[in-house]
Amino acid sequence: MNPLPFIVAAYAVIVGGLGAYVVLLWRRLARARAELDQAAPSADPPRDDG
Amino acid sequence: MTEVLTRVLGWAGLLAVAAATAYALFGVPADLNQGDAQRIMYVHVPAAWLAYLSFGVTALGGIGWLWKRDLRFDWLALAGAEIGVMFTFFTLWAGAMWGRPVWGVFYQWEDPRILSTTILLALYIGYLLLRRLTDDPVRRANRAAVVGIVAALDIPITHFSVEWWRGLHQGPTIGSPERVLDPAAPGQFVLTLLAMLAAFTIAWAYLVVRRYQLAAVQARVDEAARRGSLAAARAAAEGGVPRVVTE
Repeated sequence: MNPLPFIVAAYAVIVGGLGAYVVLLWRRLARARAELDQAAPSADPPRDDG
Repeated sequence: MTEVLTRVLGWAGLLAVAAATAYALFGVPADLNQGDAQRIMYVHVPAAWLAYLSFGVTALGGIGWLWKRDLRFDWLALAGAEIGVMFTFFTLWAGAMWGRPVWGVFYQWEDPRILSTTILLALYIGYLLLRRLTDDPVRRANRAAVVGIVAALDIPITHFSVEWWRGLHQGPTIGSPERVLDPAAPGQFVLTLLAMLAAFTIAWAYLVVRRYQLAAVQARVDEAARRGSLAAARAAAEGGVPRVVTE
């Protein structure tokens, strides 16, 4: 049996999956930071500096 | 960890994985018995090692939370579990791709190593689902810590299953005490495997840092949303109308 398709499938899914997860993490992190920037000013009570 | 250091870690992981992968595919000679199919070992073993390491982090994070009551331990536990699930899937996938040309089958339910790895995957998918059952961060951390610690008991069972029971899966190449100084593979194969382990571990560390950061930011978003809805509820209860700001 020719192992080449199995080698390609193993490496492609693992290396590609790692890359895809990194990109997904970046996007989720950017979205969460944008949500925080939106939510924080309206949720924080106004500062009373006296 | 500063942003610069995190980026350096990310680039180091990328370059190390690229170099080690290129060497594993094109540099190291093929195995005498298994031929090129044995090259799958160089991703299969690191994936399994990082799955163990990730779930170990989850268990330690759970212990840290129960001990110190600091949510940062829970964020670390979450990072370990999510990344561990990915690496456990990679382990099973690479194992299936290696098994078909060498054993003639993708998967065998009767094999203790394959079955215990599948159970490990199911346990931590359950862990991630459990975390979605409540929005209360303390209750979520409590439940997750207990499950994360109990589920970690499957790590030694999975690792030593090839020594405790007979199955299709081969014995350890370097991962047992008597194999450390006397590996069951030629030196060049072992060095390539160790290089892949190191490269994947650097990439793993980067992923853990980023996933932890995401959990930290999400916790602050949830907290801000809770405070925002609380302020709106208070305003409504006092007969006031929440202020709407328009451009």
